[in-house]
Amino acid sequence: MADQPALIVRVATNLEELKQGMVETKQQVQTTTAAIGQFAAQTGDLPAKVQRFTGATTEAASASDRLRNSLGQFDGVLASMGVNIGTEIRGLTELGEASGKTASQLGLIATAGLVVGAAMAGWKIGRAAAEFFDLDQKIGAATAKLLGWGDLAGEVGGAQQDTINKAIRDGADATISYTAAIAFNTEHLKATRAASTAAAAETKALAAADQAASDSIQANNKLQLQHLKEEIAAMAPFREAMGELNSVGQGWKGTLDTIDGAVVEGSKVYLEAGGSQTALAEAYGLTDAQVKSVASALKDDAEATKLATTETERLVAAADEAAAALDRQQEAAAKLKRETAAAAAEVEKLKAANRAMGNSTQYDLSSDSGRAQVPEKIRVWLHDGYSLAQAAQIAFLMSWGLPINANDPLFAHKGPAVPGFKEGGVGDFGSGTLAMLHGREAIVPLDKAGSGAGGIGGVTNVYHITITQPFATPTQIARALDDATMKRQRDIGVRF
Amino acid sequence: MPDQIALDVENAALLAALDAIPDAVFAHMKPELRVTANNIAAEAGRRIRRRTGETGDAITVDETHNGDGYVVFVGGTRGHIARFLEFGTSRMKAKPFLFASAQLEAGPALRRARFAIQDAIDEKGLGD
Repeated sequence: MADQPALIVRVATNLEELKQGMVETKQQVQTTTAAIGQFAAQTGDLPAKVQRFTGATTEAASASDRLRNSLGQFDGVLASMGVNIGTEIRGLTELGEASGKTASQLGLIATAGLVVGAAMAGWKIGRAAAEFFDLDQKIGAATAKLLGWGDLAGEVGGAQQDTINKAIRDGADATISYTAAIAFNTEHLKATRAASTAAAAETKALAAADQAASDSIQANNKLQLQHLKEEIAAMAPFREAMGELNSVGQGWKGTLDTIDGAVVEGSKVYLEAGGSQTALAEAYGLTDAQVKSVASALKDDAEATKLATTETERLVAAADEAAAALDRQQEAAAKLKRETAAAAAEVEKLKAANRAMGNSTQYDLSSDSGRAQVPEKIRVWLHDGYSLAQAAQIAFLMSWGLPINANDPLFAHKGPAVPGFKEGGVGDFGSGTLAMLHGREAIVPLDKAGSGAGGIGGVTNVYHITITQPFATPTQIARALDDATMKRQRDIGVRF
Repeated sequence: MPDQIALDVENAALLAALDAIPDAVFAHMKPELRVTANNIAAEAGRRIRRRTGETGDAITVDETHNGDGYVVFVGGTRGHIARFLEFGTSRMKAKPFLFASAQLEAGPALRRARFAIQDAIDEKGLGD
């Protein structure tokens, strides 16, 4: 930097005090740890003392103060820093103002500026470091946390008092000092350990005697178990004979129930493979009655299988017969259909011949093709205003030279009869059929009836009927449909 | 034989944490010091009386030679002008800009420092 800065504000940290404080804190921690170790070595009955560790004592307070003092070296730095900064700056500013206004005095101001720089160097971590007032408490808490205690210093003081109390309780004088109490406790501990060693030796001897007794009992138990096995083996022939006797009278099925299922199945396989019953009895440890019962079961199984096979064959034959009958029925139905078709064709053929001979009045006058088939001798009478039936009758009578009977109802009036339906009616009357009206009547095509406005009734009822028994005659189905329709009508309130 | 409790005091972690605290404090503090220095420089730049602007432009933030923080100063050839402005002359009243800016920044700087220190303590496991 070529030029000396005239004005400097230094913003920096100075951690030397902090580091020193940490060193001293570590020393305190180590000292306290050593004291705890010493206390632990000299104290045998701790639970009561651990309880007392939780209480703070006067000594604990002083120890805490010592710990705080070791850290509190920040205090001097911290307490002065934040306060002095402004004061010094203000003082130096006043100095600059009071130092004159001449150029010669600017040097002094420059010096003051440098002093300011130096003074500002003191503004290190300032008041922020004052937070370390709390640091000693935080460290104390952390120490306690690591050691699993509450108050470290209190614990040290409490430990000393507990050392004295233990010595008094173990027989020392009530005015014994801490140092003397440590010595007393040490001797007492040695004596206690010696007693413990002797007790341990006695316990070991007792345990050895215990083990010897246990070994003897175990050997005796083994011997008794061996005798028991021998007796069971000796009883085996007797049990087998009793099994034979017991199986008499209960049948081979009863005997079979006395055998394990897996043994029965294994025995069956063995017998089926041709194995001897003697070998089987030997292999599975079965009595003769049991082996025989297995053989009987095997025979019973074979008979059941044979019966099942026979029944299956019978059912297959019946099924084949039913299939053949169905085929015959289908063939007969096809034949009937063919014959019906041939008969219908024959009828049509006869009708055509009849019409050709002029003996038929069955002509379709509603179509051009139908009208073209009407013979001329009939057509002339149609053109004259007669109905088809009248024209055919006239043509027939005239062809044979016969007179027309005026009393014949056919000729009650000329032309086709016009249906009236005065009382109403429904039907398919063919295209071109005339009808007679009678006054106030509704004439509605069937395909529009019941379709709302203009329809009869104005309501369309759609019935969805599910037939669950399709195997019925057409009559039965029609009756079922009728019943269902009427019931539905009644359900919705329609009364007939 | 009465009941016994063995006390095994393990203080290695605590001692290590105490050792580590100063470095941790510095690591957390250094960026905050930079912020403080920048703020002082910015405020000084706003406060300085401008005619050519050269003096204001000469306000500089630089790291200290030993790295423990930062310095804010008027560099270049404008140091004497800065002195005239900061303290005044026989012909001119003082128009302080630098130290006044530093005083203004003192409070925020201390607050940031507290947070940095607390963060360092927490980082080393000695916090709450």
